[in-house]
Amino acid sequence: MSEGNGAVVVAAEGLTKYYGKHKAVENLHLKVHAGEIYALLGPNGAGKTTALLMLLGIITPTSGRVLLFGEELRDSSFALKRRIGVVSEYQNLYTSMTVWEYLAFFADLYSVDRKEERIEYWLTTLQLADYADDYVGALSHGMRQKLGLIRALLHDPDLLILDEPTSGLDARAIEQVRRLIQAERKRGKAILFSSHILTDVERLADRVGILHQGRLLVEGDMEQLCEAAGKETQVEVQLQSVLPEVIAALRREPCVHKVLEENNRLLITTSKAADSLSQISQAITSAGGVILSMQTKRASLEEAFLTITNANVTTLVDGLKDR
Amino acid sequence: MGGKVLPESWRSRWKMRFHIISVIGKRDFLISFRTFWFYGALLLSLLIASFSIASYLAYVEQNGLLVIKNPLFPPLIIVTLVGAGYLGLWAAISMATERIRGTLEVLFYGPVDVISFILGKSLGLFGVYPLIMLGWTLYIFYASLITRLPLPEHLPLILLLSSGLVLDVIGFGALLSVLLNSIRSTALMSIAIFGLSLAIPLGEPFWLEWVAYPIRQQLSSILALIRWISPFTYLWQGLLAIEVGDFTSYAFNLFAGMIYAGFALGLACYSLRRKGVRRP
Repeated sequence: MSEGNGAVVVAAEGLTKYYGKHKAVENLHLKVHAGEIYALLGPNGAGKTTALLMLLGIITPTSGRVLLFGEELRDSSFALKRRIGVVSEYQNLYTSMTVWEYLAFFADLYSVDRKEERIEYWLTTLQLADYADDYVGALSHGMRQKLGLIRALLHDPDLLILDEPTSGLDARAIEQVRRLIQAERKRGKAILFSSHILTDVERLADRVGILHQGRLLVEGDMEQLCEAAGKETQVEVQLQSVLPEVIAALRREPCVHKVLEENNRLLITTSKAADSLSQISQAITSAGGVILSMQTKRASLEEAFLTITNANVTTLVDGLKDR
Repeated sequence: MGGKVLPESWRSRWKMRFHIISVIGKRDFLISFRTFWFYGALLLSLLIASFSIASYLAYVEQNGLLVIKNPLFPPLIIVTLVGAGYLGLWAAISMATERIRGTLEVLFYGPVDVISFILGKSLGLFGVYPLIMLGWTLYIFYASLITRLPLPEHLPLILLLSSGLVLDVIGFGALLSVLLNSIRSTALMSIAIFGLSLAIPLGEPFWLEWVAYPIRQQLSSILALIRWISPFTYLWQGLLAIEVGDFTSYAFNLFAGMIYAGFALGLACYSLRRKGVRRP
C-alpha cells in the first residue's frame, strides 16, 4: 500500500518555521490519508515535533498552511479537534489526579458517550485497570505513556498523531502499542507518527517521510526509500538446475546488474525490484529454467536512512528533484 | 472517515465552549479542596479574625466602652481579603503551572481554546468563594452570638461586594500567570502586587505624613495609578460608599469591579493567544 485507501486527512502545504534565524522546519509538504500509517522519521532535532505541533495548531508556522479533514484548524475548531487524538513525547499529565479521574476528565471534555465503559475497556486493554485508583504521579514512565495513549484513543478519533509513541516502553508494551496502532489503521483511521526508532517505522508505516535538519528529504514506501537511497535490491532465485542459457539471458536484461551462482541458487542484483521481478522470472523461464522459489532481499530502512541523511543530502535531494 | 467537517455555527461553538468551561471549572473547583493551602488560608483568616475580635474585647474590657461603631466589620474585611488573596494567588499559580508543566498544551490538543481555558479555571476557583463566604458568615454570626457584638451593618451588601473583589483578584492572577514565565516568579509577583495593593492604601494616612511635600505629591500620583490597576480598588471604594450610605456609588463600584474582572480576563485571553500555549 502506498497512499492509504481513503480521503486526505492531513495536508501540510509548505510549512516553514523559523525561531529567529534558526530554521526548524522548511517547506514541508505532506499528506496522510484515511487508513494509512505515515511515519515521520528523523534523528533527534530534525524538526519532527515542531512539524507535528504545527499540524496541531500548537505552534504557528512562519509560513504555509495545514488542512485537517479539508479544513483549516483554528484555536476554536472544536468539532475538528474532537476528531484528533494526540500522544506527545512527554505526557504532561495531571499528577494530582487518579488515573480514573484523569481519564474521566478528558472523556467529559470530549463528550464521550458511555465514558465509564470506554475507560474500563481501555484500562483493561492496556493492563492499567489495577491502577485506576492510583495517583497519576505514582505511575512509572511506561504506565504514563500508556495512560497518554488511552487519553488519545478514548474518544475514538479519526486521526491519531503520535510523537515517539513507544519511547520509554518495555519490549512487551512496545509490541502491544504496535498492534494497537495497526488495529486502528485497519479501522480506517489515519495515523501520523514520528519516531527515531527504525524498527517501529519499518514494522508499522505504510509510508515514511525522512526529515533531516528541518527538510523532508524523501517520502515514500520502503521500496521507494531504498530506491531513493540508491540501494540495490537483491533477488534470490532457487532453480531446479542452473543452465548457462539462464545466466546469459539474465545478463542481457537491462535491470540486472550482477548475477552470482551458488549451487542451484542465483543471487541477482537489480535496481528496481517491483518492475524487475517479472522481467527476471520471464528471462529465466524463457531460457528453460525452472523456478522453485524467488524472494527479494531489499536494503534495510537503516541503510536507506543513513544513506539519505548523510552529508551528501543536498546532492541526493537535487537528484530526486530532477527525476 | 476523512470527510469534511461541517462549519461550526457561532451558537454551536459557544455551546461547546460552555460545556468545556463547566468541565474545567468543575475539575478545578473539586481539586482546590484537596490542597493543604486551601485549609491553611482558611485557618489563617479565621485565626486573624479571632485575634482581632479578642484584641477588641480586651480593649473594651480595659476601657469599659464600646468605641467602634461596627466592631465585627474589621474581622469580616480581614477574612475577605485573606480569602480573595488566596484565590487570586491560587489562580495565578494554577494557570502558570498548567502552562509551564505542559498540561495546557495537552488540553489544546483537544477541544479547548483560550477563552474556555481561562474562564473555566477562573470560574472553577470563583465557585469556591460562596462556600468560603458561607463559612465566614456562620463564623461572624457565631462570633456575634458569643460576644454579643452587633453584626456588621449591610452584611449582604458587603458579601456581594466581596464576590466582585474575588473575581477581580482571580482575573488579575490569570493575567499575571500568562505574562510571567515561571511558577515561582508568578507566585512571588502575585504576592508582591497583592501585598502592595493592600499595604499602600491601608498605610496611606500614616506614611503620607512622614514624607516631605514635593515627594508626597508625586507619591499621591503613583497612588492614583496603583488605584487604577489594583484589584482591591473597587472593594475599598464600595466599602466607603456603604459607610457613607451612598448606594449609587456602591452599585457603580460593584459594576466597575465586574468590568475590571472582565478586562483582566480578556487581557489574559489575548496575551495567552499571542504568547501561545507551548510550554516555555
